[in-house]
Amino acid sequence: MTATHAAAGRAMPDEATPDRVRRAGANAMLAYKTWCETRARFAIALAAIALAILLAASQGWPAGVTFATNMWRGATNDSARTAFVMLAILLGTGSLRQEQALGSAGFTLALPVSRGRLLAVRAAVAVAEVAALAGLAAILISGVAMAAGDPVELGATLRFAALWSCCGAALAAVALLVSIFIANEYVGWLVTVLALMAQQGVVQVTRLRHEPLCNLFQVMAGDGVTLAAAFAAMTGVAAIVLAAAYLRLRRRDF
Amino acid sequence: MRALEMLAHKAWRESRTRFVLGALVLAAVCVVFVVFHAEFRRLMGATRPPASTYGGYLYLRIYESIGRAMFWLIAIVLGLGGLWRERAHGTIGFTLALPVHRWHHAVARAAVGVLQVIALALVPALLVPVCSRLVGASYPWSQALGFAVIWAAAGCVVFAFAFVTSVMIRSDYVALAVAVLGMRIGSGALPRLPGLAGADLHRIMTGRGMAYFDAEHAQLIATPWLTAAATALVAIAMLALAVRITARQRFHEP
Repeated sequence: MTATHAAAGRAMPDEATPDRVRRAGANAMLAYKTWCETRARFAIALAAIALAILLAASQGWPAGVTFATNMWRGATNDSARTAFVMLAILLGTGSLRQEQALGSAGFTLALPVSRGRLLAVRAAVAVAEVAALAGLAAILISGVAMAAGDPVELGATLRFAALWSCCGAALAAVALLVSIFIANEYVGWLVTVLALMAQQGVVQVTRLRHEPLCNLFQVMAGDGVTLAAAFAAMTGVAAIVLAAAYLRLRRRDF
Repeated sequence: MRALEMLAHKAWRESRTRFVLGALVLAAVCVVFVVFHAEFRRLMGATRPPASTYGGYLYLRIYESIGRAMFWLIAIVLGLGGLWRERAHGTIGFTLALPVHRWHHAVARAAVGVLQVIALALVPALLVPVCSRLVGASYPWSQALGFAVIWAAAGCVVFAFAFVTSVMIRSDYVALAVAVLGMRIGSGALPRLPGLAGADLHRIMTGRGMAYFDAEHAQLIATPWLTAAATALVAIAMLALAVRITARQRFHEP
């Protein structure tokens, strides 16, 4: 105890602070660190998804299909959906492996937190950013639809936003896993995108094509899947992938 | 000259993983679509040309959709990197200490990248006719090489855009995001501007709506040398801009 604390008959703050509060403080600081590392990407992502939606709006949509249906389901124009997928992967990329290449891994590992905590906070920030991206898409699509005189029900908008968020979270988790295995940022992103394309190809040419939950784009469009099933499936995928990422990260020598 | 050779070797060492990975994936896609063409065509269930013909099927799968999308992404990733990335990784001091002009670095990297893009464009051109013959089908060399010419030219523009992005933006991830989304959104928006209707890279690569392409039979009528040359000129102009920017940049610590 310092003299001041001793005179006041109080314990030092560290001793007095419960573990729960200290852990929450550490999480907040790690989240802030992750936010600082990803905010430029996140800002670009917001601008890009807004541009993609406004561009699609300016291009028009076919008669008989509402703008919202066109955008959410990718009926005729999937630029916003594809952009969202690529951005979700980008927001999930980045781990201690890249910090090692940049020379800052030592500082991060010296923090008094476990690697599991580092990973969990990194994943949580990525998921929050992906959800915010889906939220912005929902607001813009609803706004444009309303301006076009064809408003969308709030429930439908929230459902699609939730579906995009679930899928985006799973993609971000996969990107995080890949970035733990591959140090080069560009190669990691490319591998994730190509793996997704390969997965889509395999699904389309095997019996898995009859399982809507196996097709990410079908899940995002809400074709033949309930929100609960999509949430359970994508959360399950994200959890398994993050567990694999943790196992890898825990054993890695930096 | 010797210095440029050495710098080109350095650029090759830095980008070879991306190139080899991209070439392997592109090759795998071509081989899979050719070898399993009967199964894929049965799954497509197309009864009308061009989708019902072998050439039309290959065009739809490789030259119009999946193969082209992969080539596009790989070309972008090949264009990233450069001196800002070296600065982040702490190696820029060694690179700038080499007894060469700063623009030599950019020229060497651009030259290696362009050669890699051309090599990638040749992957389907070589594999599709050869593999077709092995499975008892045939795909004309003239078509494959014609598409290779326009893919190489358009790929150089994509590469050059990513190159300029990497020269102007310091953060790896932000450069990646801007390059991918800039190309994606820009390629949709640019042709909408007055006088730039022909500047749609997707149309140039697929031939859709172009005078040199027969949409009914999904094949090139003639090799579009003029379009390829004009596209290549745009790429050269963008690369020259990137070299000029690099020559004037300051990379010292702020």
